Amino acid sequence: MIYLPRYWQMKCLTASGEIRLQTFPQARDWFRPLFAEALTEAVMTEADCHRLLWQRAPEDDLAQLCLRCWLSHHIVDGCNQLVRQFGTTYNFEAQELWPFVLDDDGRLLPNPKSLALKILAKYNPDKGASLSTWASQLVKTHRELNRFFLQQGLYRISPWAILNDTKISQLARVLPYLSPGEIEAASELLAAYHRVYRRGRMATAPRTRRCPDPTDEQLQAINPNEPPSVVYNQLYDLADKLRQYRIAVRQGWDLNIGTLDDGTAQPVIAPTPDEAETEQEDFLQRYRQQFLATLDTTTQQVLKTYIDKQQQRRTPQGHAYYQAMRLFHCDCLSMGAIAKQLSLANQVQVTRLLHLRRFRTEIAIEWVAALKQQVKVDAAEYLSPDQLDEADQKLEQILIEETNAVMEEAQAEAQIAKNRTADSVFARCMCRVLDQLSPPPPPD
Amino acid sequence: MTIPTVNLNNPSPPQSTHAASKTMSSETTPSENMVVLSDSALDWATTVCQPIPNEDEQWHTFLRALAVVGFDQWLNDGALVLAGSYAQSSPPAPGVNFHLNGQRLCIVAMGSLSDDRLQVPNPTDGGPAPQLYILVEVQEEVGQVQILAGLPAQQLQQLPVVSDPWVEIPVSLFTLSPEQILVTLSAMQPETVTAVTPGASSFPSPLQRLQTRIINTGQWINSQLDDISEQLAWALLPPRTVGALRDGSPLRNTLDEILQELANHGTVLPSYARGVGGPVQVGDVTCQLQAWAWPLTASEDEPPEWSLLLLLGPADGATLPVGTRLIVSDQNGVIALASLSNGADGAYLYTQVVGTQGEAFVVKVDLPDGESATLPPFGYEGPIG
Repeated sequence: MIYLPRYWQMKCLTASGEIRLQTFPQARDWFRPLFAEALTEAVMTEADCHRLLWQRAPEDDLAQLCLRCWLSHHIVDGCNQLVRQFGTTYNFEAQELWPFVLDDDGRLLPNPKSLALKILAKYNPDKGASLSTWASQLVKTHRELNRFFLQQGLYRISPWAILNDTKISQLARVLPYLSPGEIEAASELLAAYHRVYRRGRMATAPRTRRCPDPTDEQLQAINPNEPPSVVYNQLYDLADKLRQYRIAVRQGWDLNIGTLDDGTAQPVIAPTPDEAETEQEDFLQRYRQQFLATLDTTTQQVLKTYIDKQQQRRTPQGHAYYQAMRLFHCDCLSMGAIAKQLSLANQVQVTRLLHLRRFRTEIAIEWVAALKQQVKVDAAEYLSPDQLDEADQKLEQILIEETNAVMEEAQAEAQIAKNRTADSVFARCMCRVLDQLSPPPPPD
Repeated sequence: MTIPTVNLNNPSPPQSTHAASKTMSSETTPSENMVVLSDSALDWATTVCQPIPNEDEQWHTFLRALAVVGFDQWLNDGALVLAGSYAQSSPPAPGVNFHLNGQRLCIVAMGSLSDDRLQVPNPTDGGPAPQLYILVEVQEEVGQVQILAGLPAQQLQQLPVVSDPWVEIPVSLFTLSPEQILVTLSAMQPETVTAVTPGASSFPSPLQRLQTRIINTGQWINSQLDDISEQLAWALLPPRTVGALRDGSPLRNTLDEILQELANHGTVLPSYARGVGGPVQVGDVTCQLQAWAWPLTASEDEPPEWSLLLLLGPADGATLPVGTRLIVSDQNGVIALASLSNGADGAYLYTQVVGTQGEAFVVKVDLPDGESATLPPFGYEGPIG
């Protein structure tokens, strides 16, 4: 669908970060007589129109202005697509993306550093990608935009990183729909890219993290027989195909990350007494006491260590960590709610901060070790030393099973996103322990 | 743990849960096991790989170096003290490249293509092989790695394709989650860290479980009859000698035939296997039982396993009723079942199971008239090998 005003209305950012539509009457009055009818009558495609505008742009500022206007719409479209894809999980909105990429100030004389001009510099209607493709590519690979994403916990891999890690020997297998000739061409291109680009990557001190676009010199070195922007397109295309493979492989795997369990986990309590003889009962009573007491002491030790580690970081996080643990285990807030309360970017950051699976695993390991020691002391009253020796491995197995039931209950409860309870044995233990510990002071 | 046995409803191998999948998703990787590499880690990886002359090898060794140093950082991220070590002044090898608690680890780097298979050196090529493979996703561009999943070496026997001197491992074989890796490395048995519904165990009280007497087949290996077998009036059987002539006794001939059939399926009774035999009373019927046990692996790197072969037949001159069943259970439930479908003279039921040390098997005989007998559990206590 053609929408002509895109060629003379530019989307610009106000000082407060809103989008305002800036109309250029001169551009409109120039554009309409030349292109309007041809476009609406479908005599001319938009690609043709872009070519003609681009050809006139060096001498005609208005032609360039029309392209800048059109690009501003496309850039906003690109941002909206990213928000649709990732905005919910990583908690950002389009408004937060605009300042990075909507940098054309709407003056007649363009800002040479603006994204629009960069796109126009790459675009060549006779060779390579369309203007809209270039616009999409340069938005998606925008350096500051991706730095923002990374801060939100979203890593969007660049095409250059994908090319870096792919081996020539993998090409034929992962791109089976390419002809042998195409595979050969791709192999040559990839080999040249590796020679030129990766050397640069390993030589620089690894401070400039995100892979920059190959420079014109590098593109020239990769293939001297084509203009740099064509080589750029070819590389980008190959990377895109490989990215599709990457996505397909990952999607073929189960996407269950922290989803609800199917509700079959049995709620668990400390082991119940059997109808048994007195010595069984005595032992069991002692065992039950030890069972929960060692859980408490172990949890306290491990939690203290985690808090200390958080406090020792470059920006001390001990206080936030303690609060987040409280909010999760005692107040039963969801990850998103905790993020809001602690002013963290999003739930992903909370998940990383709490590192709950590892936390529970380490508690489980230490708990079994502590229990085993204790049980051996107690069981010595009922078993002979030989029996005790024989029973060592069996004992560990038994304790792992019994402690596992508690940890599985904890995990099932932790995975409940909304209206979670704090009923599990572990959650109640956590609340007791958190009450007894004093939180580190908040940062000033 | 069992090997599918002959002459029963063939159980399929255990479903492997795809642990790697639980930490990955299409384009994004929200994960708890992400490690942001420190500046010194990045420096080390870059520096240690500089001397490698071949550019391609250099790059992939660089990714591996990032994986190794990232894994080390991850180990120290929590409260456990896990002292690992790796070569500091040479680039990491593609095979064994990390040591911890005396275990040999192979850290495998997954590059950004996220291919569904990985290459490692053929572990049978000589030299000590890795005991545990760890899959680490490397995000070189942003200086991060993610610990994905682990693969104990003993599970490698089921594959792989050799493309000399490398072998290919499908990513789907990596079934240990990062948390299970931690458990493994803290020197516990990972396969026991699975949920057990409380009450499903036949030994509810821990003390009771510690006290339960088992038939200790380990003693048979030393040509000793254990206490329970003695109480059951069972006797040690003469060891099988290779090339022994058939002595014409029905029991011996049957054993030979069964062993031949097992051999056809790849199971061989070693010469050091020992057995006991004797009567089992089921209602009015007296059956004859033979039980053979032998250790499977004597290597120090893998958990010791043992095998139990059971044969159930009629008393001399009698036949077992059609529909007689021989059922073997472990603590989680039935694992093997043999059922008599034909009433030929001297027909025998047999089954074989494999367990780790400490595992016990409960054997039950069911008759078609409803009578049944359950034997005391068979275990293997004491050192194996």
